[in-house]
Amino acid sequence: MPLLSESSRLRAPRCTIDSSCVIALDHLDLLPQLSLLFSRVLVPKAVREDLYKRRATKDRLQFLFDSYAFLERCDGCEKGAVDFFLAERVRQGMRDRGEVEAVVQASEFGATVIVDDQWGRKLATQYDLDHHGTFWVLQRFYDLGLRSAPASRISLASLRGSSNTTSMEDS
Amino acid sequence: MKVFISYGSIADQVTALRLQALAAVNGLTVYVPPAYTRQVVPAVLEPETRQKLNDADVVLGVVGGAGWTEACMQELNAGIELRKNMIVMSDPVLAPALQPHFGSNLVVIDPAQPDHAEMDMVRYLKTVNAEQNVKTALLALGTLALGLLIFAPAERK
Repeated sequence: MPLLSESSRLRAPRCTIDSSCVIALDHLDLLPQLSLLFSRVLVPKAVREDLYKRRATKDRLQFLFDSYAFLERCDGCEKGAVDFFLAERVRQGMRDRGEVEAVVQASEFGATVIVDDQWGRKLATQYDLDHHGTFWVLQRFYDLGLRSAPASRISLASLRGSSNTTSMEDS
Repeated sequence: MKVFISYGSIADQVTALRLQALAAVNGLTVYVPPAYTRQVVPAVLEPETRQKLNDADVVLGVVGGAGWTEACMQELNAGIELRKNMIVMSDPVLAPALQPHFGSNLVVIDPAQPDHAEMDMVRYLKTVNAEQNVKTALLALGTLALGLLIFAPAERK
């Protein structure tokens, strides 16, 4: 008798991720370790387009997709829902399609949202989605013993010293 | 100590990356070939991969139920040619096909009898002429791989 039958196995944890978190975790060289928390990390189209705007991040993202199979391009998204939420955001003078797609796709796939942006996190709350920021990821790595306390402090200092992430303190 | 993890198919890479992260915490340097090497046909052993195999003290094969790719087979065969200390952990369904290639290096992971895999590893390590730290690393990595493969969450798209 198998320890776990196919039907009783846990569902593979997955998340969608926003561009600032991709940049922050890559900056710390921690993206591969994300595989310990999530079996699949879905990168929405708008997030990819955001990262493709700069040559350096475009090349880097391409390298990451080539290197790590658990990082996946994710295109299937309910465009109507994205446009609806984006319209609200545009009225506020902001354009955050990446955050919106991350939330809408997470809702479709039953995934966690990894997002630092405050508005994106509010949206995830509205969708009743599990959502976290870069700080939470670092905390989980520390809890799992993957990062020592000094290394975690250096990571935090490094992120605070860069403009990659926003709302880190709220994570 | 340097470890090379060869994974069967792209579906097994996440297990290899988890092993890499867990091993790194314990001071091991682990190389996991990039995902694209499992998508290129025909597979070619890249210079970097060959170099990492040369440098490795230990080679661990992880071949899950999705089977193996040509790239994985090339890496594992190169490991044998280089006379590396090696364990290949495989799904029971694939064991008959892998047994002729890897003989006593093969450890079958049967979810119904995980203790057998552990005993096979210990039995194999008794036959290996290697330093104790190499044997310890093989046993630790093999046991971690066993756990990760048995308790891997099911993929439901």
